[in-house]
Amino acid sequence: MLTAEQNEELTAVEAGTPMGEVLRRYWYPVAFTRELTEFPVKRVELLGEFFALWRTPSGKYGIIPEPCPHRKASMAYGVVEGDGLRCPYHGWKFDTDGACTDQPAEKENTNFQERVRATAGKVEELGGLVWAYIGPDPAPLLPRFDVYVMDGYRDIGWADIPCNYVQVMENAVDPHHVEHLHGRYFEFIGRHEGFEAPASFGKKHQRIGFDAFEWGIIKRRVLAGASEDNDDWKVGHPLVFPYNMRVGGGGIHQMQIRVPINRTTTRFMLYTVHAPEGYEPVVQERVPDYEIPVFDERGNHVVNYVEGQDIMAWVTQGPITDRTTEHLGRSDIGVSLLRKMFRQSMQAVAKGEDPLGTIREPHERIDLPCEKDKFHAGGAEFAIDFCNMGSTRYSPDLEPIKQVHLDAAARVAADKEAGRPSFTPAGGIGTATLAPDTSAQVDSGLIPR
Amino acid sequence: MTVPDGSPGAKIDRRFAGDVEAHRRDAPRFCPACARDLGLANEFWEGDARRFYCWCASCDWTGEVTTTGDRAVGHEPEH
Repeated sequence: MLTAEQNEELTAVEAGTPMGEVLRRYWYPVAFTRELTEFPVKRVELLGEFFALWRTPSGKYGIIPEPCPHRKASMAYGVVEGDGLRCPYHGWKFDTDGACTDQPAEKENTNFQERVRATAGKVEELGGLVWAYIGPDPAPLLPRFDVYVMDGYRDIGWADIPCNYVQVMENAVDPHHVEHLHGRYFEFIGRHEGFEAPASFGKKHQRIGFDAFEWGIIKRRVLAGASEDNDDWKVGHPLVFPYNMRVGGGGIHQMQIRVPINRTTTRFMLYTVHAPEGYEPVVQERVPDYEIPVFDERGNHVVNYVEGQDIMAWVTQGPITDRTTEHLGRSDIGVSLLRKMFRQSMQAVAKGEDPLGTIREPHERIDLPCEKDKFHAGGAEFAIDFCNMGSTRYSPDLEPIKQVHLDAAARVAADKEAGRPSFTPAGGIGTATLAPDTSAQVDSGLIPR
Repeated sequence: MTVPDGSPGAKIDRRFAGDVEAHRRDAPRFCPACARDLGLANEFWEGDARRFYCWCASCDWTGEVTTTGDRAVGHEPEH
């Protein structure tokens, strides 16, 4: 429970607010690479501001605020010319650094065009996504997290959901919800709709733990029938501060991305890489993207798949969760830890420091910890449940993806028989991140259930 | 314009107006370690206890503060 003022501060995304200034220290995916190859200009909303994003014929990208500095017409309707973007209204042109390079109706012997800049952000392409940084210079580097650079078969599901991103992030430090929302509730819906919900999601939690680390918070759990030797505890998986969560298991690697579009809209993305042991690299001309359903034709939430259940729980809290009337329990301790991390980052930025999870050293790949044996359900079983019961069921590449897993399993069997090792794409930390017999930084202790 | 839930001035869930008031009244304001303003006092409940998970933005102290009212609960081990 917080005061209304604290809730306001925590959930703000706008420039000039403490959290808005924290959020402006990170890179965000703002388009699919394929979008700008189909049409080279896109109107983008990010952190409550509108921008014009464009791709030049030479493959460079630029992003500037949407209003033209001249008369405020939208640059998102601009004309891509050379490396610049020309305003559709009077033809002022800006380059990717934001410099005004042409004012066709003005005399050439004035310095007027040097006096107006368009405050350009930075743009890079990585992993089938176009990423933008709209914060102050010097920009940190775009983090090359494992999922964006590793071998594997990719697809990207997405939905724009009508709520603040913080309530989505608080779900990432809430292990218990899996047992109920994706266990008991899934089973209830399955009973009524005539399908069998995945049994592994309903296992009871016996211990939860959290460790703050350089990229966010590692979440751990011990489920009934398992122990601290299982991946769910000793490896865990992380909330990647401030707007991602890395998940996976069974040869699947996923980043759940929650981009704050504005204070009450979040672009939820599921960037998934199918990279099981035995994977044989497949060339993908482009990474497919697909919209996942939020509401049905009657306006009710679609709740017969995992992420639809999550979205229902996030959105029904309201556009901004009223944290003045919530009632947290001890089991919500991860939420407290995350709120502390947000406050620490506000403090760091106010002092002129980089907040958590910004990187300035060049790097090839950032591996994140992620359990491989998810819910101790076995690799193949988890992968099949993931495809059938999660957002992947809506992927245009569902069948090729299932085939990737089937082919990989067959290859592993053949390799085993031939006595040779199987190829496994490199990416992720699948080894222990917590020493045996050690408590997590925040730890419930074992409660047999 | 409708003010989103959870914002100052928003209509709150009246069932818990008393809890909102109690939070404002009882949330620790100053750090037990350095006595400066606290950066966070996040309230949660455990049985009858109201607890505040606190973090001090000045000295980085983290800890829990529990309200007891006039009565503090003791115990007597077997002996």
